[in-house]
Amino acid sequence: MNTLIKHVLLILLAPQISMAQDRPSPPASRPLTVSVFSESVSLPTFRGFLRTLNVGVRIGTEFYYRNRTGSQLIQTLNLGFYHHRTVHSGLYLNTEFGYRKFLGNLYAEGFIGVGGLGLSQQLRSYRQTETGDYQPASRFLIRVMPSVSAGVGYRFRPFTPTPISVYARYELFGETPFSNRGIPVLPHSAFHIGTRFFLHPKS
Amino acid sequence: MKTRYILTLLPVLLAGCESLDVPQSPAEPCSPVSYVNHPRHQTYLAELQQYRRKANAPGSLLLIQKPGEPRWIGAVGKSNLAYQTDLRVCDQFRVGSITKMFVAVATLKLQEQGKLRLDDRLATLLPGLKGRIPQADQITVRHLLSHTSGIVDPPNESIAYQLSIVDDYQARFKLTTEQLLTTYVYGKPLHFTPGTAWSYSNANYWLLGQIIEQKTGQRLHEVLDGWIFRPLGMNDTYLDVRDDRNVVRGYADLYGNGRLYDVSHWDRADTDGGADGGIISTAADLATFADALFNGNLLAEGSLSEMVKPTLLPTCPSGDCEYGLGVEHWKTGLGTAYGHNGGSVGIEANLLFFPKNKGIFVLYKNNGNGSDKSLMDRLMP
Repeated sequence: MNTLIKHVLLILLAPQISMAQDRPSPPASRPLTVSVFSESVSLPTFRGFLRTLNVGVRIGTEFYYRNRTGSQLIQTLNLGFYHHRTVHSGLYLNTEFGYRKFLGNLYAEGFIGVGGLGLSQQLRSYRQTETGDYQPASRFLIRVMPSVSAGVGYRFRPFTPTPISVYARYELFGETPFSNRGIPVLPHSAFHIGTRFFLHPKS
Repeated sequence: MKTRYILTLLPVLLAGCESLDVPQSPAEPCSPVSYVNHPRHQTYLAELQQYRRKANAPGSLLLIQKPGEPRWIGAVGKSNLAYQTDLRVCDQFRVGSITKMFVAVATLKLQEQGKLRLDDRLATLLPGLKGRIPQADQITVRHLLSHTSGIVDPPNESIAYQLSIVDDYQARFKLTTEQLLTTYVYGKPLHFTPGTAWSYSNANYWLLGQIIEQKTGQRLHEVLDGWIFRPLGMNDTYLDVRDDRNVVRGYADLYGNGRLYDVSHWDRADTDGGADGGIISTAADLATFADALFNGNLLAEGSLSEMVKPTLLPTCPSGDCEYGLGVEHWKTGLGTAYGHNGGSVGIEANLLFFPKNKGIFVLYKNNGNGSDKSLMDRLMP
């Protein structure tokens, strides 16, 4: 499974690395994105995010295939953690490919991604031994994490060395393989509120 | 440096999460009759052990009652893996949809008392449903009992329903039947015109529970207690929601990797107290119920005939829907058997009566995956 995740990440990041090498003047600094989010196990919905808060935090950065005044083609790399009150806690590393369109200082964006999700499960689990007995199993599990997301944001000081933006994003991600009642992917929803900024001024 | 702190902190957070509490089964008195001296003890026990192994179930329980030999009950494996508690023949377990047989009996008793007729319309019995369930003025009590109403079945058809239990089992546990109907049934189109086809739906029995409560002025669990459990001496059977630490825990292979998860919290939230699958009972009590029902000690002869009469519709395979009123028809090597299967994420239960030899078969396991039940063809003749 770990090898599979490595290969998927390499395939997704390969074009970015290649294009970055072709670029005559790569940017001297990368933006940092930080978001807090509420997660739920559900099909796409906005119901329940505020009723039951399962809080998470995500930090990441962005690389640009194309960076124009009105739009961007983006690759992200993110590390996130969330705690679902009754199901599990998840730590993930993922990458997303996306497009961002600016309308003045407002923007809309969409992403599709994949990652690896490490779970610490709250449900107790057991594995069968060679003698047919059941013994407690590790509560840690690694799954593949496909994702799609869309969001809107607003940028401040866009054409200065220290631009900053705030955004809201709805994300649907899966936990797979899963196998119960014919459902191959356990779907999760997450609603993010975040900010993007540069630790060091853009050159 | 800050990034290094964060990277160190996240795995610590992951490792620090607590597992859900699993209550320990206390040493409740349970003095089962010993079945070791039963003439077919070794045969039955070997079949039960093989069934449990093949089904990948922590525990399994079997009851066989046939004329010419004493009743046999066997239990193998564990009821609670957290404490490695042995499953006992007198342990209580969730029976799932076997509950529908009890609700059907209560409905037929209401008919015997002249309080309703099987052809009464849903919109007449529960006037508040008019306009909320399509064609409620065409759906009859018989349609609800026989699953020919066309009403949707959220527990089996709605992924949103299933995920809501995973996401927040405590919130699901608090939902009333009316709230379930409002969220998942009202306003949804029927699968077909009432009475023209067969489609299993738990919602039919949610509505029957409401009708029984409306007609009797009592809660459903009180009705079943007063009309069935107490008169038959089923002292280990109940429908009301209680502390479930004595109940056998349920397990499921959620990821298809052979690892079993304790999903009792989900089963409890989804089924306890419900008219579609909420009864908790024992193998012996289920056999007592089947014995009384199919030998005519619970319903009048006409009501029992009505209950087991097959639903015949041209839309069903060979015209036979293999279902009566709250009763499944199983085609077995010993002819048609009457009874019901019950299942939820973490359990599977079966209760069958064989008219040919008046035999009774109860089979239970605490793993919600399906299973091969062909052992009944070897053991029941």
